[in-house]
Amino acid sequence: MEMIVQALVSGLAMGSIYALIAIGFSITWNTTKSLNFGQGEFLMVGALVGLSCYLTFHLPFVISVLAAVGVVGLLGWLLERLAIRPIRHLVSFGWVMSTIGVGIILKNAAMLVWGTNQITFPSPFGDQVVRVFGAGIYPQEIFVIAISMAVLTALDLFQRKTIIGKALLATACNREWASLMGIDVNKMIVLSFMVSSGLAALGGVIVAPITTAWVLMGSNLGLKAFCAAVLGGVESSRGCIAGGVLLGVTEFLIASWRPDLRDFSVFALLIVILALKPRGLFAAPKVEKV
Amino acid sequence: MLVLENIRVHYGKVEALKGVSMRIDRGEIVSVIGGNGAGKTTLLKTITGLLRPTTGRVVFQGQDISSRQPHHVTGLGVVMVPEGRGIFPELTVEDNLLLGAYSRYFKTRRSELRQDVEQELRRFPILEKRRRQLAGTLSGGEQQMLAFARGLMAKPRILLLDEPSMGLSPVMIKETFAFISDLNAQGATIVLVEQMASFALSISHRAYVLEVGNLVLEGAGEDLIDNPEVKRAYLGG
Amino acid sequence: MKSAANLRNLALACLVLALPLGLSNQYHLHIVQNMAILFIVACGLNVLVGLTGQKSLGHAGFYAVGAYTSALFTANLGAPVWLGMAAALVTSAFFGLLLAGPALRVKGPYLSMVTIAFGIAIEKAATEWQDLTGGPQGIYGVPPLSLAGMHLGPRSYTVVILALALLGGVLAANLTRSRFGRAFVALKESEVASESLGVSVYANKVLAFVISAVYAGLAGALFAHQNQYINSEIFTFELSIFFLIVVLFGGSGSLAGPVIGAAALTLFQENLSFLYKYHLFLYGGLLLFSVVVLPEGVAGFLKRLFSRPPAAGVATEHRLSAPPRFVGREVSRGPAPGAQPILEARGVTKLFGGLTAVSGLDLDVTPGAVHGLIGPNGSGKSTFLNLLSGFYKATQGEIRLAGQRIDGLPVNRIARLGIGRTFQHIEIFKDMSVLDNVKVGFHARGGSQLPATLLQLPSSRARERDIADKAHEVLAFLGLESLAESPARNLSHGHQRLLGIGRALATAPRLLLLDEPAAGLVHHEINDLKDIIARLRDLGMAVLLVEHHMELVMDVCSAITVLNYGQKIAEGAPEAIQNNEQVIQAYLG
Repeated sequence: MEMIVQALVSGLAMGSIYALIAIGFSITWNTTKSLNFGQGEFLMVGALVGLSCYLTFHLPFVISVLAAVGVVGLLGWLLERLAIRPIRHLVSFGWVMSTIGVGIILKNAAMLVWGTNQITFPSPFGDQVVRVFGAGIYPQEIFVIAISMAVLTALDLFQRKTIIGKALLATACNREWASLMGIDVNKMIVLSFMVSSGLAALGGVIVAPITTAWVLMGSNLGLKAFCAAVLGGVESSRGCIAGGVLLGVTEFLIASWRPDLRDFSVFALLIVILALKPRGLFAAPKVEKV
Repeated sequence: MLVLENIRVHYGKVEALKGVSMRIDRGEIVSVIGGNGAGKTTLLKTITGLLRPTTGRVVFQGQDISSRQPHHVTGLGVVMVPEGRGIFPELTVEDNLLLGAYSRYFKTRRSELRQDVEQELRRFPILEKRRRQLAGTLSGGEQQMLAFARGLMAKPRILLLDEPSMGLSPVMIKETFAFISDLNAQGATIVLVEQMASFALSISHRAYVLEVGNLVLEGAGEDLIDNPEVKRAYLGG
Repeated sequence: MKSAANLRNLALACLVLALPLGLSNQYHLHIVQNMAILFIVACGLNVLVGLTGQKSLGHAGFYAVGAYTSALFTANLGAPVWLGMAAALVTSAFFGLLLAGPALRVKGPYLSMVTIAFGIAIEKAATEWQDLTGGPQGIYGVPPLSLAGMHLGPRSYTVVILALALLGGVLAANLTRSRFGRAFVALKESEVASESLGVSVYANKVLAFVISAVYAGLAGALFAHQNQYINSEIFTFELSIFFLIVVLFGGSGSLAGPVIGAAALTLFQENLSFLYKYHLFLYGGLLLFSVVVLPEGVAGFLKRLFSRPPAAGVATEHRLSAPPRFVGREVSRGPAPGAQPILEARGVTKLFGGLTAVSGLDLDVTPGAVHGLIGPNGSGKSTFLNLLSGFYKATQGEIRLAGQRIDGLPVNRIARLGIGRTFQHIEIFKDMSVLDNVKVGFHARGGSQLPATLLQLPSSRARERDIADKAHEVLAFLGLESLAESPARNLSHGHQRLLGIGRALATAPRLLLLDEPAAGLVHHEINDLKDIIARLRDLGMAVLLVEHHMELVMDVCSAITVLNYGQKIAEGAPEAIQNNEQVIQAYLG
């Protein structure tokens, strides 16, 4: 019983991280029909920048988080200018490879700065395990879930209540019409990439105390988050959240039963689900116009 | 107020507008009519900056706006209601209206914007009833009203309407043209691009007839209505 | 001409095979072997990525399947190497088929994800299923290739691998130049147009997938035997990306591309040990460079640099007045002109959610007649054409072609039954030559089967010549003969429209649907079009013409149907329609 509760909580925590990154995918996908395949590396850089601020420069945790988000947000701006905008009129799906390329470069840069070892990121909430139904849960995990929910709610409010959020939605719907409203579409696109990157960085910083921070932490996480977005339906933010949570919980439940099947089952499951629902579990049906 | 000087526009290799010149004065309704593929929508898109003319100039209130970005052009008061209305289906009626004022959003007080929204909703009582509904659930005629209201939220100096009759039932079409006429009576300057030539001509001061990218006819609205050339442009023969 | 090229290719092949004889350093020989193996992967991946445009980010999975199959057969079961390799081909083909199913139902990022997931699933299976694969420990003692039981020295080993690579390259080249290759490129450029020409997009995508899987599997098996040891840490997502870089850098779509890519990336990898600290910078940089600076790859770039500038827009030349004979033959097999209608639509209705696009439409077209379909924007004309050609399924009603019901059939099947069409937004295959565009139209009608094509048997070459002849006839009829080798993207708008018609004619349709063929044409081009339509009509073809250009419609049609708001509001001879009050109302308001 404790194992299940543990798996559920850890799964929910990880799932929240997946959801954060998946929403980031969704935002840029909706505005530009492209996404950052190197998002995992952005997560990693966020984690390591946060780590440095916290451990090396002894800045408070909150400041470290903000610094990480800020730095990686800027990277998002850079990404859009270097790997997305020049490609827009060239190759279709060229962004898949160009963003992978940027991710690889980032990984090397990170290796040079932080080395290749795993670094322990002490949780600001301590290592004492909290007992719930007999299961041992790290306070950091609870923090992750809480913060993710808060951020996702804030994001939803931002999109629905602020004018910029609505302008983003308008841009995602139809760029021409949005520009006729007076919306600077290019700025909206840049914003969507910066927000997407910032979310990845946030995910990285808050999950690092759980997973340890190291240069290779992003690849697997990024791929699984992409998996979550695709599973739920990358066009729908609800889908991304549901996909993230579903993936995280499933992954950890399977891991508690058969740890060796963990990754295999996640990816195999995705193939099966997509074979049945090609546009994700929660996608709205689409009419193909010829 | 708005002058087009010898505009040529290309889509790749195809020349869609072949040296079109026209002029719109303040307070007028000017129609641009012509069959399909005549270049009417291309014309409006060029004015608003969605397309760049290959040669020629677009001059608005003395300023050359030929190479301006669309969001700049809207900010100057040249507001277009696109073909198919261009409302955002996943946003509410209210939100669509607010977005209509985006170009002046950061220069205007929130309270004034709220007032403007209320004013538009009063002008269209049906929209008032549906203010919190998603715009995509509105009928064609309601969407047309929303598109007009949204355009007016930008406090336009000149309003460009791209085929407002498209997809509307005959009854709605009559109402739409009556509304456009009223707007003009209240002082709005309007450029009306239309397929429904008779309706458009009956409410216009002046009109231009486009045929495959060329300006073939120009004159007062009431004169052109009975012109056989107009019928030829639409029905061949 | 041909024999000179063949001689040159033979000489090149001999040179390649003789290369190892000039090398004595075992390290260098090993590098050449690596290049050859990587070339094989690239060749296959090129067919998928370069030709059909399906980006697979999981090909390390097929590489792994081939490697493990052959290793297990030979090292664990003691089978001879050739049997292991044959088994590797079979299992990779099987997995290719397995993945193709789900992969082809999804598009864009979903396709990327499915292929990634496949690659990773295979990697994880290899890592965890230790009983079978040995996991990270791996499988030792994989026997090297041998020829008839004889042990091969390093030089001979290299020659054998090179020979296999050469064989793979030749087969791939044969495939690329065949109707299959054309179909692959066609479906990358426009699935809609391909289907309308009778090309089954689905079947061809599966084929491309399986071929690329088999190549990767073969390469994996060769790798296992060359390395004599494999473990699960080799077959990672990064390896899949590496394979893609090879194809992108070298240039997708051409044969020189895989050679350049394989050679360059092998050398790149070998020399990386000196720059290990920065190796990812270089990889990432290479990737960015390939995508942003050289999107067509090195091979594509070189080809553009050294190719002749395309012919400048040729003025309309004298056209052959008679339509191609094969078209006439096909048409005459159908009902005679003026007799039974070849197309009968009854009560056709199409609803899109709450919107009624077409309502209760009855329409007949008889052979040897041009029937016009006109109406204001949004009246349902294009929808009706899409219903006829199979892109939409009618909500209600029946559509019969020569008495046979066709509503509900897949598009490529309807095309093969005798309906050809053009599109409002042209949709020609821009990257192909004008001639090749027309040749795609012959895909479904008499080309040779895959094995004959791959081996370039005389029967297959004869069929190709036949297709080429017929394609030239079509171009001559349309006055495009002199532009046959030009890339279709360089054509003027008017010529592109004609090409669209030519492509449809290649399918020898009995009913030709023309969707606004005069859009964007200048006066003399419209006259040409009128003439072409008239001659096809005189041949006995049935033509349904959707048009806004009223002069053309009134001139060339014998009967006209007018739609408004999805319903028929008038039907009859041109003069009657022009003076019909309802019609005038509908258009002018």
